[in-house]
Amino acid sequence: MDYFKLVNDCLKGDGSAQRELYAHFANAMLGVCYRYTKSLQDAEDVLQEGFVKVFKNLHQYKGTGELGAWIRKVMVNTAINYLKSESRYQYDLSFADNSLHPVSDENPELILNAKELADLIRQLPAGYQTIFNMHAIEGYSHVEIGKILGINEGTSRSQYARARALLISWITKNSVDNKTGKYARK
Amino acid sequence: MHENEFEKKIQEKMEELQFSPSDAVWEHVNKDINKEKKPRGPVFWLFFLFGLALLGGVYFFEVNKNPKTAIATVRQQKQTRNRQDERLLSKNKQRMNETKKENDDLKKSSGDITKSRVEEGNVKSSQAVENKDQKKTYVQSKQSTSNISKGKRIKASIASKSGKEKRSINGTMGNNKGKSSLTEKYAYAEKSSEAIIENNKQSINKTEIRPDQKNAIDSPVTKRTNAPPDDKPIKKDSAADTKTALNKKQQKKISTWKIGISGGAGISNINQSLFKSTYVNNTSAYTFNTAGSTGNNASPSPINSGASYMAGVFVNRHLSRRVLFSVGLNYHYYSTKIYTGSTVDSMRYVYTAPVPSSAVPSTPLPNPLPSYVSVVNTYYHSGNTNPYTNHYHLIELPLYMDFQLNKSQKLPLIWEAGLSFSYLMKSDALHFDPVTDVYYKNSSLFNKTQLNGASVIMFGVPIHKNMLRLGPQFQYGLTGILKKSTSNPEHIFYGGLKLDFVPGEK
Repeated sequence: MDYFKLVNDCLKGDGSAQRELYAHFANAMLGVCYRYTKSLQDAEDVLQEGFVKVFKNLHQYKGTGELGAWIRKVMVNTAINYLKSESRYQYDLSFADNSLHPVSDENPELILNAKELADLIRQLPAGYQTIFNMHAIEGYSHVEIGKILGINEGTSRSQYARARALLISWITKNSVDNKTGKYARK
Repeated sequence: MHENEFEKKIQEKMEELQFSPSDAVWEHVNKDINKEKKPRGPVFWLFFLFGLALLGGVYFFEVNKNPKTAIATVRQQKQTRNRQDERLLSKNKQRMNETKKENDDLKKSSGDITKSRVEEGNVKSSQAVENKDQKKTYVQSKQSTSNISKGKRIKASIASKSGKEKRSINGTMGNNKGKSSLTEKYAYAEKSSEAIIENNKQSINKTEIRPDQKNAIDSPVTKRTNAPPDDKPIKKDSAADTKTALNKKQQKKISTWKIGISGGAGISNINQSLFKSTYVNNTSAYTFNTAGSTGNNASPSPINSGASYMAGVFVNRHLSRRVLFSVGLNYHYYSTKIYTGSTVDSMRYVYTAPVPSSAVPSTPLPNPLPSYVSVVNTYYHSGNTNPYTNHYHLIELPLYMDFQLNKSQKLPLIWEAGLSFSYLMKSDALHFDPVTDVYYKNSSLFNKTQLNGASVIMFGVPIHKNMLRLGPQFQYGLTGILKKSTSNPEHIFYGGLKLDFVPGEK
């Protein structure tokens, strides 16, 4: 797909090009939004806001970078702003604990599919969930996370370590359950 | 760098994560990105025009209310102009004297120069020093002194003899001393005049846009960069995102009523009109129409502003993204200050309405008492020894429209305007009877129901999940505070700081 032409057509206000760009990236981007939120409805809200931002800021995309990565970054930022603005996510986003927590070097086997894994991530408290997504999947450093969320770098590290440990324990438990044919979690 | 391979595995897995969004998402996105900028709603313009008309009406009323004042103003302006003319005239005379003096000198040195030409030439040279603006004023001043023959000559010389004059003088004076000095003077004057005009031109040019400024304006505001928009542009856009009217969450927000508390404090007064309070001497709470009476015609105390505060609750609802309707219930306390003499706890009659011309107050009053007389148990002599505070307690029902003037969600600038109906529950304000020269209380003279116009400019400040709005408020009673029409209509006025608090509105 010629992204450069697609972007130019979108910038000219071509409706079919806009529809094409949306259709091309919407599914993957909904996956990103899904990881950050607690429900599919919230994820769709973020996706909608995110795509509005994408189209309104498309002139900032020059065409030399990867369009998908650019859109993804917009979605992540939109999701974070959404979490900050929504009251039901407020409590979980309070990062009071600044104590250091060592990061384990465990590397459990991942026999879960993408959705199952995403559902486990979404079961983390929202604060843990956000930091885990940003660091482990998006690749933000703790310094960057601290700046974006307005927390200390140490807090980010600590929360990440806790989130990671929690997630590994759930993955391990799920793996055992799967092997034994039990499904502790839906 | 990630801690170990675990994160890489997670990343790879998450790349596979995909869902199909519902069709509604694209519909909303499409509508939002392709919608045109909506013009302001008719409700805004209706209120805006109403506000303008109100202000215009008040201004017109103020200007035309007192023709005597208008005449006095015109007279004052005329006097000012006359004084200016006199000043210019004396200046001219001074110049003329100087010219004469110079002419005398020239006469001595050059016998063949006629008196009039030298006079005109010198006047011309002195005139040339004036720049264009000064020249205009000078010509006006000459018009005012047209009956002076010398002035006439000056005017004529200015009107027609600029270049010709120079030549004439040069030709006439030949090679004598007078010629050189006069020509030099004239040339210098002309040069100065040109220099002044040039300076003016330069200063005008300076006010024009410099090329670098022009470039700055013409150049594109935003630079295309390859970098994806991180936090900053997104934050900037978050304000624009509020436009997403079709977002379900926002629609829900718009369609709900929200409750808030309102408060404010400031000063209140009883005004004769919107802008007249302190200038009017006769500002008693109730003035007697003494046109047909034989009373003392004593002057009541002027009314001074007093403290005022209000508190209440309101509910509001968005009519559109930036237009809000609110209705509330407030308690409003007003006060004013006057000066009285001593207090007397004794029964006496007072005149509460204009006395008919046939009535003579000093004669024994008929029984039953006429409608314009009532009996009071306590009264206050006139004087300025004792301060007295008039209290007014009102319940208000404000109906306001709020218009957000900017687009910021974080710091909205809101213009609130509307009407408030109020009911005077209680007042101990004093009325003045100039016939008996006493102050007295009589709540039945007040107009219990009031209609007020209000206008507030507020800044919204989000505090956690709540919204605090703060700004100056002005409220003016459209109906008079008194039932009966008097020579001085009296309206209640309030100016203060308003504070609204809306929990859960961000």
